[in-house]
Amino acid sequence: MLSISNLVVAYGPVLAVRGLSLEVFKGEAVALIGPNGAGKTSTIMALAGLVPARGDILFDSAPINSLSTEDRVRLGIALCPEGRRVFVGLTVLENLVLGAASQPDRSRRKQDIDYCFDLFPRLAERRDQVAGTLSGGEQQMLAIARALMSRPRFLILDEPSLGLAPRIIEVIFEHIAKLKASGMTILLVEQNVGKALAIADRAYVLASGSLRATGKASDLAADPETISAYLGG
Amino acid sequence: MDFVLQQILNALAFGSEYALLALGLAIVFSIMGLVNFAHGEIITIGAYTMYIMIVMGLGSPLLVIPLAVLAAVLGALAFERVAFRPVRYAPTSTGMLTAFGVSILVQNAFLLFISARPRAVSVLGGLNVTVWVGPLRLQLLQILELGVSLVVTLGLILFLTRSTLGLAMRAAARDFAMVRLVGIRANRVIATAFGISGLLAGIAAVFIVARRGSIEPDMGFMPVLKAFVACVIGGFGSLPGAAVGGLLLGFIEVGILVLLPQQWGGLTDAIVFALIALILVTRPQGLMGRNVELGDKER
Amino acid sequence: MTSTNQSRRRPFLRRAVLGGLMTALPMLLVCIAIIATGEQWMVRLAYAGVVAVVVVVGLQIQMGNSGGVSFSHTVFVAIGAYAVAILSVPVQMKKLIIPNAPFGLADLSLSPAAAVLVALLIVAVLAVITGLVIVRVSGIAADILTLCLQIIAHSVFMYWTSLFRGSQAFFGIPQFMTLPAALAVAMAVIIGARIFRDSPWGVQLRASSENLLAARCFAVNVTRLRLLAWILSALACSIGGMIFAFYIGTINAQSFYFPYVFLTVAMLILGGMNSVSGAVVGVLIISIGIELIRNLENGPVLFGIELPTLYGLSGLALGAVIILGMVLRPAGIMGTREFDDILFPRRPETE
Ligand SMILES: Nc1ncnc2c1ncn2[C@@H]1O[C@H](COP(=O)(O)OP(=O)(O)OP(=O)(O)O)[C@@H](O)[C@H]1O
Ligand SMILES: [Mg+2]
Repeated sequence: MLSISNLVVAYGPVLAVRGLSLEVFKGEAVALIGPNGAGKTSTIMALAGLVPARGDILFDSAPINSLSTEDRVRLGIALCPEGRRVFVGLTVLENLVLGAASQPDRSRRKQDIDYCFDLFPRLAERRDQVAGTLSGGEQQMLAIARALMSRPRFLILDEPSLGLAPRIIEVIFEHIAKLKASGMTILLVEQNVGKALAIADRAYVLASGSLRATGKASDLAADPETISAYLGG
Repeated sequence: MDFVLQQILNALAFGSEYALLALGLAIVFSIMGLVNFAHGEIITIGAYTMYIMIVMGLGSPLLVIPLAVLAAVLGALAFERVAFRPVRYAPTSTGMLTAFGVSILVQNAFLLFISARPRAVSVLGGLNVTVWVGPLRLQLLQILELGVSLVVTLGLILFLTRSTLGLAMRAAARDFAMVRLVGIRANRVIATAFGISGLLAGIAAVFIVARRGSIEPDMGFMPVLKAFVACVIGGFGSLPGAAVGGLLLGFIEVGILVLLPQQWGGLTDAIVFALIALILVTRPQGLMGRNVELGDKER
Repeated sequence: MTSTNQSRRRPFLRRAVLGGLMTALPMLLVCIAIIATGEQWMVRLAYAGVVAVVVVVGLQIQMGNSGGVSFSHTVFVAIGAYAVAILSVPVQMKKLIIPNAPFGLADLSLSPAAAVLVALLIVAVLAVITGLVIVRVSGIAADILTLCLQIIAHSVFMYWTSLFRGSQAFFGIPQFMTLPAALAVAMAVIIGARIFRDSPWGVQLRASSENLLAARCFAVNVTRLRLLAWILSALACSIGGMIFAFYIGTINAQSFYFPYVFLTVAMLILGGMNSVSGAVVGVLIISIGIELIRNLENGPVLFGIELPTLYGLSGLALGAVIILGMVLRPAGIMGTREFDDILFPRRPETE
């Protein structure tokens, strides 16, 4: 479904990603793991077209390099970015409404909102609360729900566990597992290696902008050497 | 008592004109960080449209007013498309100078193709009459100005709270990239911001021309300077701040005009701006601005 | 011995002075060419250009180091011009133009040199007062404060007729300046601006305007540096006003108001506000461009056809050039480079 080859992302003289190739097939959950500053977020941002990048990005076998961020999203890619970035000034409901902005079919919006509230009952209780006042875990749920509102075919999650208490992380990952079970294609960026490998089918290990290892998630999880070499334990 | 009420209405009328202009500046600034000094030329475009129509013999107010407002909207959209889109992601000073460039260009175009001297536009002179509201003698123009501004502001609030695009505009003021990440087109959001600013400026232009009775190439400068100041008093980029700042400026101006002894009349501007400076020094973030500490992250 | 010590302690000084000379070079060449033609009207235009160089370089000291836009630099141009005018006009002439001047100024006339010294003192005092207010805030609020200052000052010029003659011209100022003398002044101002820019103070200030938080963490006293830049900028701009007054002999507050503000700000940003060379380039391009087009405005005869007068054309072109310049080169023509950086790239700091 997604195929990246020789992706290079540079911020001025800083090379954040140095020739990464990566593939995600339909229905698959793929983890992208690596230490701080490995270039994971940069890869995702390049995918979304928010940072300039070189290399080929194919989605459904069609190149999307020249498309704007908006048009990429409209192809069915949804991004739940690092740091959540909910719309702090808007209510929970308004956040969800904006999440559906790329959906031409308005009638399905109500149904989708109900689906999200079923998925995250805590959001339903806070539907009219301003998102900036939600707790970190609630904001993360909202960010995921907002991404789902566009009925994506391909969901990218960038560090959904960032800064959350272990109990909340459990909840979030349960939801991700549910989404995967429902057939969603997922690219999951994580520092929480154990959780990520447990949920993913395959994984890529990135360090200093280059690919260091790749394979089935279960194999990687059983290979403590690779893990400790690149992820420091 | 009569006098006081009249002066209050006077202040409200001026204030709502500043508020309309300030809202337009603020909506563009909040979304793309552009300090649009060419906002005054949108007023000028609206005003000259009236003049041109009258010269062409289409002088009915029912025709002149909507077309002037339309021209202002189109003018604002054209500025965005031609001049501001290419510098969208450039530093603030670049955008500001581009706006100066647009402003100089448009002023001189009117100077070159029409005239450097003021031209009379008297179609709307009929609005400059006094009416009796109960026991009060009031200016019809001022009542209209206040009323229309109220309606327009209400409309704007409805748009910003009820429509998806309006929500997107509010969200974009804080995190534009995220708005694009939910699939809303950046161009559409920005064009809407300019369209709204053009609409508000066009409406203000109608009232400005009705009051002045004439037009000239640099007529947009002073109103926009005031609007700019109104924005800053209210907190730059904050929409409620712009509205409140505009009204407050109206009251400050009229208050000083009324209270200042006759022989100091020439110092009105100096005192108004000294007061504004005082507000800024004591509350640099504006009256309704968010006090963002350096290094604060909102998330 | 002393000089090596000096340059070891201040390695930037040599570079700044030599670089400053290179920065001034284009202006010098254009002016020498104009003096060589001997055309009096061209010399007059060149003189206005040199004044603009002094003012825009003065503006660069403020905008280029502290960041932000200033709308009030021409206030100091006006104060410089009015101060030397009021101090140096002969007493008989004063009876005619400002008979009711306060503080006994109507009966006082200083030599130009003394007038310049007193004027610089006045400007310095006013700059400290205004600067202390302005450095209290930063960002767009500071920009607006300068805007307020411009309007307040202009109102005072207009209102205080017994001293400034309001909207009437102030004439009778001794006219002893020449283009070569103005060039010397401009070069001194350029070198001064370069020294400030390259000095540790300038470097710290520029770094802090890029990242205020980091600067605070490194305990850079940003406020004091901003005040310093503000005062130096005011002094440089006032010098521009003085050499203007002593050449032209007649000044008018209106000519220092917003159109001049915008023109000079446009020159600086177009050239590139982060370098002194940018200031010089901006002045040269816009001055020469406007003059060329102004010829068209008066309905010239081209290939035997008399063109109609086209007032507004130069402004139209100015606007178009600014827009194009910003679209094509958002950081200005020079960006952050000086001329000498292009010819002799700086080695990376080795410390
Ligand atoms: N906007 C930017 N400008 C300059 N450098 C950047 C920028 N964004 C990221 N970088 C640099 O690029 C490198 C990769 O950053 P990136 O955010 O992609 O890492 P990451 O793998 O997501 O790390 P983390 O797990 O900490 O989120 C880092 O060295 C970072 O400093
Ligand atoms: Mg990251």
